[in-house]
Amino acid sequence: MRRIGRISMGHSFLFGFPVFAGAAGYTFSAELFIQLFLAGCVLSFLIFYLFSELTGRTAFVFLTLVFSIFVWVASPKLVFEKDGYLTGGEVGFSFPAITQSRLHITAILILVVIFVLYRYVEKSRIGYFMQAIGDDETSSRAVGINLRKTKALSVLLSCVPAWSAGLIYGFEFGHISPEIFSIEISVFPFIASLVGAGNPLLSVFSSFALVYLSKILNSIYPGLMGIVYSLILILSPKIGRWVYVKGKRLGEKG
Amino acid sequence: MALLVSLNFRIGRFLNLSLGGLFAAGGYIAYFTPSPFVALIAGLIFGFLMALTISRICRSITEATILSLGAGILIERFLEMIHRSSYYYFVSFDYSPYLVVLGILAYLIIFAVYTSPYGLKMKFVESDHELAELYGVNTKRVFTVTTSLTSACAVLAGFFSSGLLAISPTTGFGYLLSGIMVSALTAQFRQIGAVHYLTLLAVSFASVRFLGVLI
Repeated sequence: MRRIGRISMGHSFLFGFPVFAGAAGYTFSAELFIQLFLAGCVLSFLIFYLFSELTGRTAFVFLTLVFSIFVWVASPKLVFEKDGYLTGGEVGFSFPAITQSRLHITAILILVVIFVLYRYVEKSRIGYFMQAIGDDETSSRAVGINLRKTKALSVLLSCVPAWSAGLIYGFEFGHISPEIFSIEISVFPFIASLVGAGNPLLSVFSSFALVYLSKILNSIYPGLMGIVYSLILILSPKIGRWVYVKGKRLGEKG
Repeated sequence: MALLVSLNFRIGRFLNLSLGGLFAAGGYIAYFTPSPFVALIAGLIFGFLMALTISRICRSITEATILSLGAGILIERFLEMIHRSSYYYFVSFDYSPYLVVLGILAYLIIFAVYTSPYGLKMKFVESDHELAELYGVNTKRVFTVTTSLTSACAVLAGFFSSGLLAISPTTGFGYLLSGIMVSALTAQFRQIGAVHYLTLLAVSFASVRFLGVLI
């Protein structure tokens, strides 16, 4: 989405909403789990597409972030009664579990497929259209680029990895709570992308590095990684510019 | 909260997402040291430091907003570290009547400022930041004062509300969200100066009455 000039700070919604809806459905039946997961995917795509159409660059950042905080605050209010027991709320819902080894292989395969797809799209005609919209929307419209179609495709390309990651997350833990919409999850893609200098491959490596760093730091003191995230966000304007200059110099040398 | 969000956005030109964390911090100050002066000083210092950092390193609204989000998460994480129980904290006293006094006082100060010669400068900053700078308004000082005061008010609001709250590190997010919603609704009227803040007050009451939104 960054390519079309829309930086999302609320990807926890795309990541969490379909699995959260699916997990709520799983309380009643496996069929309802699949139906609600798919409905969640469609709804989350439509909402983000609508946001990208209605807002400009700056407002999109605010709207996605505020919306994800809204869902985070509102989701614990979802409580069902089944067989005389209450389920949901702050505890969340149970989720079908899958064997860890299978899950890890699936995750790696999905990562590779998405990475290849992204590289292909980046070098394709539609990728250049996205870049053009990111540079100047008005000029892009003037030269005949179909803004709606390109934006929709860009949002969809951003949604697919988030939905897949959310599903894998659910299968990994066998449980989904409202914390799936938390701010840490919302800002994680931004931080990983910032540390990875906006490069897709580096962003993948930085994501892995951040997850491992999180495990180490949180084992030293619970919540320590949250402090690191917040410091990265506070210094993000400096880090962003430094990374941009370094990246440009490396590019010139290359 | 809507008033603080609105002041920061219109004068400070950024969406202050640290206000939720500051509100929660006010609750913790009430729990550990029930002194409003500590809350006031803590809020002022935090706001001043944040304003200074934003002026030094941020070049756009988005950068300043992301920085304030980082500051908000920093407060929340810090509170989570000192919140060593799996239960909510509760205070045994109720300062909530003072919250009404704080609200009235904040509005009185705003109306006093906007009706004074300094109010013209504020209106200038609100309507056109660059033009205000050209006309010699010290926008940096206005920004620093606004950010510091709104931060202090957020901590004080949390402090005085503590008797009504189940205190946890994320207590302030619901209030922040409601503040942003009310502020965004009021912004649709496209007013400036004291009139805007009067409309904000009306929209806040209407939201509480009809939607149950917390201001």
